[in-house]
Amino acid sequence: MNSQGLLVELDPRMKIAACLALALTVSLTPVQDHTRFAAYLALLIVPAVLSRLSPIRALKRMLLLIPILAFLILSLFFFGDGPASRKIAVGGGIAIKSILVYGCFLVLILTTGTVEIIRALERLKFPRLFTSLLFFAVRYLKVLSHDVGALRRAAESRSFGKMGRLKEINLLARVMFLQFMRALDRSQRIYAAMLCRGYDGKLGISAGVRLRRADIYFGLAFFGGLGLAMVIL
Amino acid sequence: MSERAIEIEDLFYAYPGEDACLRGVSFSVDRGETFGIIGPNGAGKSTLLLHLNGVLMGEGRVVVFGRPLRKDTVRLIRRQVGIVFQDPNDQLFMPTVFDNVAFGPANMDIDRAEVELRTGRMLDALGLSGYADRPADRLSLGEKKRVSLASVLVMEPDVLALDEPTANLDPGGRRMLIRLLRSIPGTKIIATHDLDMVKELCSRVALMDRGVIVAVGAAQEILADRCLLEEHSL
Repeated sequence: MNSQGLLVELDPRMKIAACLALALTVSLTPVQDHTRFAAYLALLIVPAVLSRLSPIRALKRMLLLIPILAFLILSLFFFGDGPASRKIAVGGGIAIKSILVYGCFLVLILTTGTVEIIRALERLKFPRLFTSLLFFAVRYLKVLSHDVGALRRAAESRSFGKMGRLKEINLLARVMFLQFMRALDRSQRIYAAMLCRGYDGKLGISAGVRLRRADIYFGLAFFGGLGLAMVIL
Repeated sequence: MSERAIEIEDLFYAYPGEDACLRGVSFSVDRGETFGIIGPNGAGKSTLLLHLNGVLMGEGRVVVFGRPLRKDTVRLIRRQVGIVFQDPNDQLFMPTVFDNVAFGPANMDIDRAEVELRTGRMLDALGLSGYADRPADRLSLGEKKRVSLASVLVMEPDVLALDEPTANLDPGGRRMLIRLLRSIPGTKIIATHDLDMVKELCSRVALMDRGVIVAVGAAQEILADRCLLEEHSL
């Protein structure tokens, strides 16, 4: 988490609900409704500013979107049907919607810890299999990347600095494969450890935490604003 | 309840596609005893531990406090026998310390308040107060081992089985763990190479090699037999 403001204090369930609602509304809004998009942008930016999110950090992360957007828009120009003006309009629409939807999830991620997001998904009754897999991914991605790093260093220490780029890629592929095989072994040991502690398909111990007053006020303000943008503008 | 905590008779087990790694293992452990299983790498110690609460079920007889291990008794026996795995990363599969320790009690059909109370008490008892919200991947190995132990002790098992508890620990962490294990009451079964720890903690020992129990007896006698130990790479 990179900020200490309004959104950080809110219940992650409210943030996820707001994020999904805004992303869905943006996706379903016709591309020519520029006023509405401006209102959605305000709904995204105001809480982000109140949360004192670092704009530089947020913009840096937004840069990740550029290659994907460039690929989509160029494909549209090269392979799409219709006149150039229409392609520009559609491309612009894709760009605006993508930036807004990506921005929604970026604000969520920058103001909420990964574990809190998964716990909130569990409380929002997302399928348990899905949330369990997310819990495991969070726990073991670091373990796996640490192991890959160790294997890579072990191989590099015996290459005496003579490894070319191609060999390095080849090595990485082998290390990843080896790690995959080890991960299968590890998964069996983890499953055994789970069985030992009475596992019967249930993971996590989510509590039925109630929303606080601040969460409800935020929800009313956010969904009220979204409703107004959809109905009045 | 029976005076015998664990009775194993003529246990055979082979992993699919491999040679048998347990070949007619028989021994018993008394209630309240601290029992060591020593042997070289690949002797079958870890596989044997997994039979104590039915994670693996080979051919032969496993009886826990007079109750034979079968499919219909396995759930109950898993509550009685807690296993601490060698690699804490296998045991700590949840993101935070609290989640890991609370995992077992949460599967025991007790309410959340009781789960939280037990978990908090166990973290305090093992010197882990203030660790509840720490991510499991940011702990030192010694801390991970203690959290692993807490995650099993919190279920209040009658038998505690530990697989190489001192492996990879620094001397300070090792001493701390041995002190901790000594302070825990109840039946303990420790599979290890660490003969000094066995000398400090165990009253009886079984020496295992290539899936067979080679010798069972008083820890002092077996550990004093240098020829026997060297013959089996110890």
